[in-house]
Amino acid sequence: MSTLKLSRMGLTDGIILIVFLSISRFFLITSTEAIKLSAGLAWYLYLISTLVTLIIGLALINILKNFEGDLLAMTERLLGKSWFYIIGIYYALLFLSNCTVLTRKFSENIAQVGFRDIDIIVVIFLYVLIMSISTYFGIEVLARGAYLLIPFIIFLTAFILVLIIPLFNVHNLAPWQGTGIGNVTLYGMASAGANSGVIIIAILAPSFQDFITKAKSVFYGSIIGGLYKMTCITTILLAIGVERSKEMLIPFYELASLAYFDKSFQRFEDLTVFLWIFVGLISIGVSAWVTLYLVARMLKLSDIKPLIPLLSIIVFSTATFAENALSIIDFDLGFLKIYHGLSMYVFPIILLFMFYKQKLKLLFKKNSAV
Amino acid sequence: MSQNKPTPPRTILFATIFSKLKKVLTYEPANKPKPFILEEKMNEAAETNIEDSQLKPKSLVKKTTLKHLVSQAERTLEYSKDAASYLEVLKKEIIKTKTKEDRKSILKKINYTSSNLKKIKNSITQPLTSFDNSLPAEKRSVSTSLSENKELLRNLYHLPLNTNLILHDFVIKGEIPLKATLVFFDGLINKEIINTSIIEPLTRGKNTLLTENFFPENNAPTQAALSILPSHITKKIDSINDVLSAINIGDSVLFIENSSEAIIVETKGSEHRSIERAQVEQSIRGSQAAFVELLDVNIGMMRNRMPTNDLISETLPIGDRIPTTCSIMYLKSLANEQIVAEVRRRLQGVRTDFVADLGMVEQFIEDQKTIFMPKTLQTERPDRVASYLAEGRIALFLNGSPFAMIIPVSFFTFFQFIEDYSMKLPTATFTRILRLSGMFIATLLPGIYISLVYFHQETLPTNLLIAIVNARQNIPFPAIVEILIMEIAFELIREAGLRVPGLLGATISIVGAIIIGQAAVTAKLVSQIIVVLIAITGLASFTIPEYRMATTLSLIRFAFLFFGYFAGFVGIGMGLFLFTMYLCYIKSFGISYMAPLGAKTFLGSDLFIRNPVYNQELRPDFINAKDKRRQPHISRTWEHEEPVNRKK
Repeated sequence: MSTLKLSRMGLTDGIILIVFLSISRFFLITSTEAIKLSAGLAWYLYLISTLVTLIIGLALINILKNFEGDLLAMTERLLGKSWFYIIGIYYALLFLSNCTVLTRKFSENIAQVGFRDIDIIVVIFLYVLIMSISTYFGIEVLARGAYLLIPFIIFLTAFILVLIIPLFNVHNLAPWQGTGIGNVTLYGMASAGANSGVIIIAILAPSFQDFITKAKSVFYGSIIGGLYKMTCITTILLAIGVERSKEMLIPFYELASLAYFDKSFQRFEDLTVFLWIFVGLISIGVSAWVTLYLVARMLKLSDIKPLIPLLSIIVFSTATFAENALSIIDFDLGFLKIYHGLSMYVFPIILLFMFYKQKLKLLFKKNSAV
Repeated sequence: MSQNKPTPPRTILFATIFSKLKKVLTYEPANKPKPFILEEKMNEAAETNIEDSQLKPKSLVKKTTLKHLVSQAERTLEYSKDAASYLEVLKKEIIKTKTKEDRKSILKKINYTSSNLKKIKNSITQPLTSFDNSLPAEKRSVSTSLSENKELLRNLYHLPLNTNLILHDFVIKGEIPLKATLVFFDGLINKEIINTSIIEPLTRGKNTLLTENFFPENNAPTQAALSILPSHITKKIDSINDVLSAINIGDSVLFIENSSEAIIVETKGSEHRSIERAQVEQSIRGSQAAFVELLDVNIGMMRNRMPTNDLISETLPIGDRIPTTCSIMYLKSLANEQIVAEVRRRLQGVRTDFVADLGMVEQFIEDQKTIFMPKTLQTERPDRVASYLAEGRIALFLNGSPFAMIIPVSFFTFFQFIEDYSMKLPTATFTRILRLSGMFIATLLPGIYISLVYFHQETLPTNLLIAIVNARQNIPFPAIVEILIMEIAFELIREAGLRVPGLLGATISIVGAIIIGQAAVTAKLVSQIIVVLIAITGLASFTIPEYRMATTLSLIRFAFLFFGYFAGFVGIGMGLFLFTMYLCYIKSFGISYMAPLGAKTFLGSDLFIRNPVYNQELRPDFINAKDKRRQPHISRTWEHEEPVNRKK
């Protein structure tokens, strides 16, 4: 057993971690991708993915309550030592890839908007540097910081969305059925992998007080994250329309550029920089910390701090690996979609199956004994 | 030859790099005890620890000395037995006496017996003194020999170098007159008390006790003196350490010949500043009194304000060479015992020669010592301390400091002020939000301006942009230099205003700001817009009620200025992110610095919005007071009763 001690976390921490991990990709190209897939029903795509996340997350937490410890401890009990490592490595790589891809994509956005004359490597370096510092502070501090920053995020989002209202055109949602309800439902289920951050509650299970806290964290975290994405995507669709939205590269920034109050107050798009920084850095920091935690957990290390420089080098190297923004987008939408999808469906379902199999076995034994 | 050859600098550099690299690669977590983090549930461990530590015997006496003491005790017992048998014999003989000659012979016998007993007595006390002599002076007991006590004090206080220590010799009148010495520090005592309550009664009154006790027991002289002195200001002591502590704080110590005890007489009366109006934290509606430099007066002020037996004021010395009295004050029924025990532990663990100010105490006992944010609140207002104590917090006082230190605190505590409680909801909330906005403005405004000017010009309204461009047209410096010139000038004026005494300071601040601002604009060193910007920033920083917090945020303002200069909104955003994480990382005595927001606890109604006092039913959750409820759900009970004129 690893001697690494987890700090105590509460319901708010749990909710906030899930919300940030689930909304971080929304500020990137994924929202454009969602519109491409489902047209006017993009909000429905997010609804489905949220519901799937909710079901899987709650099911996982529900079986976890029968075991002491975290997801890996449960895996070890249900599937054995080798699966302990398989799942540990899988999720560590999931969070590492999340960390790397988010670093690169947010850096691209920042460089495009805020640092036009500066090389992307400098921005990536800044991101990685801050990621290292925040990882050093720990998950508890990241969660608390996220809670303090959420009012700014909500205020900035609401400010932009409210100013967009005059541009709303309900007909922009047409065709009402998007690319077809059936298709969008399938796309929604397939894109649930983007919400794989919900697994964090199972990974950090010992931090949370009880089953109710964990279940509530999953429930509220998924719902709030889903509502945020649905509201924003509906606003984009209502204000910009399906066809124009499909061409957006930095969706939220382009939406913000349309916000107008009067001749003295306009051009608010640069404010989205704050959104990218807050949401991006917290998601990257949390992903980095969870990666290191999983490594420390598997290798039975007592502290993750010595691993931070190593992780920073890995993240920096891999984030600068892609030649341009498009290749990283392709990588994210292609390989990682499958990888994240597997993490949401395959492993939780295997664990669920094994748990009920064992339960049935026990029940059968009991009955036969009677 | 070669042995004396100095190591080349390159080798040293290499060795240093190697050792640092090795340290990183072979990193091991420091084997430190776990930091103090307040647990939600109270356990009894802390309580038991305190009791254990209090009961723990001081192992000053070695085994050999213990043996010696036992033999002394045995001899004393023998002495008492002998004395009792002699007295019995005498009693019988007195009863038998009839003539004058018989009485004379008995008197002779008595004199002979008493001289014998005295010899035995001296043989008992003498070795004890000699045993004591081997100990450090501070650890000795009071000797029965007056001259020995005086000699000891002369040595300890380096007389005649030290001219303030007075050793006043006199005689206590009575059947058997007793030599006595009163020791005190001139300048620390109240001369009137010395004359009227000590010298006069002891020298003029007649001591009847001494005539009755023909065979005085060891400390009968002390008892005799105590019967004359006013009892409420006296206390018996027998160790030199207590004698020194009493003299040092302004009490007088009375030594009497043939007594192994001394008497402390409370004669404190040094000159001190009288209670005045608060200078740093002025209030319009709250109390006007402020603390003074004398600990006793400050504690008295608090007791006066909170007349309850629940108010505990523990005192303990800090400083090994020059101990300064520190007091921990809390309400027993409210303060979290873990925090009280932790504060006590930390104070007892301070090893230094001298602490001059509460700020120094803070640095010795705070968590995460390298963090520059203030982690305790210092106030000069007794009403503010009282309100914090009533919340379940702890106050620290230090003799010589006119401030009290409040622990634990959160970041938001620094933006609350006692006046908020005297005002109604809208005004109090408005003032509080104004202060918090002041904090944001004081920290971020120059940085945001620089970001807008250098990176995000399009965000500015066109008219404003044109105004800025026009104002800056003839300025030879870039905007960052303009801001730095004005910021440094402002900080200089502020510091000068604080250091220059009285009205002159205020005049320098105002005149200096106007003249320098105007002159800088006329000389085209800075633009008008920068003067306005820095003035707003400065005003905003003055809205923060705690001076140390305001100063710290001023420093952070410079950091944000450079973040904005180097990276615009990206820099400001990253700076804000790091600053938020940093704030969440800090702990004040085991409590999260950003509570009740991060860590999230029950918000209550006293954070941004200050609800009416009758709605503030619960104490701040994060303090973990023993009793969370401040008042019942219905605190205005009279509303549920019949008015006086309608009562049957």
